[in-house]
Amino acid sequence: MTALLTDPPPSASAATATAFEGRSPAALAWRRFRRDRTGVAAGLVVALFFVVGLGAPVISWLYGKNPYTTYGQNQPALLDQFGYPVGSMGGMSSHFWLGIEPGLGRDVFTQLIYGIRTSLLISLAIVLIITVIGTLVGVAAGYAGRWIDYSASRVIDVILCFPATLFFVAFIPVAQSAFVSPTEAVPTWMRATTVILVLSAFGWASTARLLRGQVLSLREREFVQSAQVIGVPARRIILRELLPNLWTPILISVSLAVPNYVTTEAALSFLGAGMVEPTPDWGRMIQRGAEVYNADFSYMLFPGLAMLIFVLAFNLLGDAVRDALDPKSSR
Amino acid sequence: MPLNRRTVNLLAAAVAAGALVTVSGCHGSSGSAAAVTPSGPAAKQAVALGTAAESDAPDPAVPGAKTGGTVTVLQQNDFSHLDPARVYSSANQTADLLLTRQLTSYQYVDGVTRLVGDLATDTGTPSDGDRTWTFTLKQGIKYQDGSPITAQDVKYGVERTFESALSGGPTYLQTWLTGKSDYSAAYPGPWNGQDLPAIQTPDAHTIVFHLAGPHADFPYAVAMQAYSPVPRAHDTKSAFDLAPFSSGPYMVQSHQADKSMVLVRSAGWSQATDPVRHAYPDEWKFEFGGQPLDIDQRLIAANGADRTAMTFNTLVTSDVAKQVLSTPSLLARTVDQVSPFSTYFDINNRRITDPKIREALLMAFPRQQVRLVFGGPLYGDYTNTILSPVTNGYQAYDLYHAPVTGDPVAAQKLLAASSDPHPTIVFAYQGTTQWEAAAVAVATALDKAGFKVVTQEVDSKDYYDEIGDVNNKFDLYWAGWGPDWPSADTVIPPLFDGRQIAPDGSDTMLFDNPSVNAEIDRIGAETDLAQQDEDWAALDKTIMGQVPIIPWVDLRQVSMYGPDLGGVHLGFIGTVYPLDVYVK
Repeated sequence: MTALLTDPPPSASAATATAFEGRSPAALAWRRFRRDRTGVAAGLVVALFFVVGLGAPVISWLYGKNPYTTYGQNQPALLDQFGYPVGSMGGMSSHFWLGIEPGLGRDVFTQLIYGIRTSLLISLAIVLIITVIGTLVGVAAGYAGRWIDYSASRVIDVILCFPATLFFVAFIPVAQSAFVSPTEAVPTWMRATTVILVLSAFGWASTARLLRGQVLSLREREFVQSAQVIGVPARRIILRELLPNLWTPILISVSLAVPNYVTTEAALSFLGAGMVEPTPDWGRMIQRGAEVYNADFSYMLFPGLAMLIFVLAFNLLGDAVRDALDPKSSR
Repeated sequence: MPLNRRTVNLLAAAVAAGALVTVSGCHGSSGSAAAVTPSGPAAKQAVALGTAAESDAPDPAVPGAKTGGTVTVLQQNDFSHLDPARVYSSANQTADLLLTRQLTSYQYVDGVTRLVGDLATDTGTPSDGDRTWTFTLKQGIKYQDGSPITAQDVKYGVERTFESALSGGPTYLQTWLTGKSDYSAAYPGPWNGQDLPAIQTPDAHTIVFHLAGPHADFPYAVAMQAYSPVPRAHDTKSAFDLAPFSSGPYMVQSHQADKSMVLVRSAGWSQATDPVRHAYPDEWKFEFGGQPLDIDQRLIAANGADRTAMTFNTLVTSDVAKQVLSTPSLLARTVDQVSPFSTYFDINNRRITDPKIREALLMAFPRQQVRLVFGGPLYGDYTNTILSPVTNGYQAYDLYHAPVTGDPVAAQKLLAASSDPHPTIVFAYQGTTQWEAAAVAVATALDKAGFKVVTQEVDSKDYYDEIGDVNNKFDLYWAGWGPDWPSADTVIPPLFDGRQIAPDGSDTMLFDNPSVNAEIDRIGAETDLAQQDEDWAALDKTIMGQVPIIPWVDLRQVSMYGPDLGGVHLGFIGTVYPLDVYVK
C-alpha cells in the first residue's frame, strides 16, 4: 500500500516517455483506420462517388451534355437506322465519353452520374430515417423492458419476416396512384418520397433489433445500475450512459446500410417500381442493358461496373470502419 | 358485326413478340450498317375473287418443289386451339390450314393471292340482294378416313360455332345468320339436337345460307377456319380441340399438349380437288416450348433435322438480328414481309373534341423517333391511312404531309388557331422499358409543339382493359388492328362505327360521327364488292379528315427457316405460310 502511494504520479512518466500518450477512442479508431490500406482506398472511392454524384449538375455543365436530351435522335449520324449507336463500344467518342443509349440516344456518362445522385440521395434519406427510428425504438424497447419491449419486439418480428421486396413492387405503384389523379403527372419528388417512405417503413426493424440487444446487455452493466441507484433520470441515463456506447454499432450499421439501399433502389427500378423516365436511374439502365446486351454490350457494362465498384467500395469501407471502431469483433 | 377484343389481344401478342425485333446496326468494327436493310417485298396487293375455273383446277405446282420429307416446326407455345370452332389467333389458324378445308380459301400463286372455291366449286352464288348464298360442293372431297365431305357436315360445322362451350372463335356467321349479336340465345348449338333453319342442305352437295341482312363479302367470311366441315359422328366435343377430325391434307398422328405434335398425310385428301393447298412434305413435326432466341439459334445453326425446320410466327430477336441481316447465307433463308397488322395511336375523341388540336397532335407526333425505339425499319413501314395495303380497295394517300419526325412549328400554328394553344395531353403506355423510352420520345416532341404532356404508365396486363374503358382519362394511346379478311368491312365498321362504342370494344378512339355511321350502313348494304371497296377507301379518307387516330406503322414479320426448305413465304394470315413449303 505505501509502495503504491510513493510511486511517482503517472503524469510524470507521461511527460518523459513518448510511448504513453492520452488518446480519445475516436483518435484511436482513426489511427487504426488509417493503417487499413484497403479501407482508405475504399473510403477514397466512396468519397469520389459522393463528389461526382452530388456535383453531377456541375460536371454535366462543364462536360456540355445533359442526361435528358435525345442526342441520337436529333443528330442522324449517331444512331443507325435500327436505333443502335454507330461506332465501337456503344458509340464512345470524344463527345460522348461512355457512348449513347440505344433507341433514344441520350448520353450515357451524364445518365450515370445523375443516376449516382438519384441512388445516393434516396439511399441516404432512407438510412437517416431508419437509423433515427431504429435507434429510438431499439433503445426504448431495450431499456424500458416489460410490455414496451414485448410489443416492440413483436412488431419487429412481423416486419422482419415480411416479404418486403414483393410488398414494395406491389405497393409503390398503388401508393403513388392513390395520391395523384391519373390525368396528372406524378412529380419526381413524389416518386422519390414514396420510395423512401416505403423502404424506410421496413428498414428500421433490423437497426432497432440490433440496438435493443446492445441496450439489454448494457442495462445490466454496473455503471448503468449505479446511475439508476443514485437516481439519475432515465433520459439522462440513455443520453449520457447508453448512447455513447451505441455509436459504434450505429455507425457500422449505417455504413453497411447505404450500399444495401442503393442496390435495393436499383432493384426496384429494375422491376419497374422505382424511379421512372426521365429521371436517370442505374437500375433502369441495367434493365435496358440486359435487353440489348448482345447487340450493345457496353450499355450494360458501364452501369453494371459503376454499381459493382460503388457497392464493393462501400462495403469494404463499412468493414474498415467496424475494424477501426471495434477491433475485438471478429468478421 | 362486332369483332371482339380477342383480335386486339392477339395483336397484342403479335406486337409483344414484334417488340423484340431490334437490330444492332454496328457492333464492333464491321461498320456495315448501311448495308443491313430489311429487303423483303411488302405484301401490298388486293385479294380478288377467283373464277370457277380457278376453283376447279388443282393448286398450280410450286416450281422446283418435290414431294416427301419431314418438316420440323419450332413454336414458342403449343396451339391454344385446333378445334376449328375455337380458332381465331394467327398461329392457330395457320395450324388449321393443314388440318381443315373450307367452302372458300385463299390461293397463293407467284405472289398473287385470290379467293377461290375450296370445298365449293366457286366462291358462292348470291341471290335476294346478297341475303342468300348458295354453294355447290365438289365431287371426291374426303375426310382423313376416306368418307365423303357433305353439305350437312359444313352446316354442322357452322352450327357448332354457336355452342357456348366452344368459345373464342370469330362471330361473323353466327351474327349474320341470326341477325343478333347475342346469337347463342337465338340458337344454342347442335349438341342438344336443335337444328339451325337459316342453313339449308337440299342435298349432299348443296348448302344455302339465309342471312338476316345483305353481306356481299360473305365468300371471305366462310374462308375462316372456324367454318370448316365437321361430321356429326366424329364430333368428340372437347377432345376435338387436341386432334380434330381432318378434312385437310394432314391429320394428327400424336399430340402431347405443350410438348409435341406429329401430323401425317390424310388418306382421303387428294391434290386434284384442292386449288389452294400443296402437301409436299410427308410429315410435319411440331416442337413446342422453345424461347424465341433458342429457336433463332437452332434455325441459324441448322444442324441435322433442323435443316428442314421452320417457325410459323417466331420473330428474329434483337440478339441475332444483326447477324442474320448481315450474313448473306442467313438472309437468303429469311422471310421478311409486311404483316396484315396496322398499328396507330388513338386520340381520345371524347376528350379532345377540337379537330384542330387532333391535327396538331398528328403533325407533331414523332413517328420516326418512336419506331427507332422498337428497331427502326425492321419493326414496320410508315402508313398515313387507316386501311392497310393488304386490304381490298386500299388507296395510298397522305392528307397532312406530316414529316415522320414530326413538325413542331406547323403544330404550333395549328394550336394557335385552335380552342386551346397549350392543351394538356395524357399519354398512356404499357409498362415495358421500350414503351417507357417511347414515352420519352413522345413527350419530348409534343412538348416542343407546345403541348403539356403527362405520361401515364399502365401495367401491361391491364393495358387493353384500361384503354377499352369508354370513360378512360387518357388522350393518346397505342392500339392496333388486323383485318379478318382483306375487306375494309372488317376494319372500318368495328373501329369507327360510333354506335359500337362499348366497354372493351374496338372503337378505342371513341370516334362517333353520325354521317360516318350512316355511310358505314350505306356501304355495308351495297351488293357490288368492287363498289364497296371503292367507297370504303373514300370513307377512309373522309374519316382521316377528322383525325381520329395518328396512323403509325404496318408491322413486318421477319422469321428464319432451314436451308433445305423451299417455297417459304408469308401468307395472308400474317404468319409463315406452310402450304407451299417443300423439302429440297
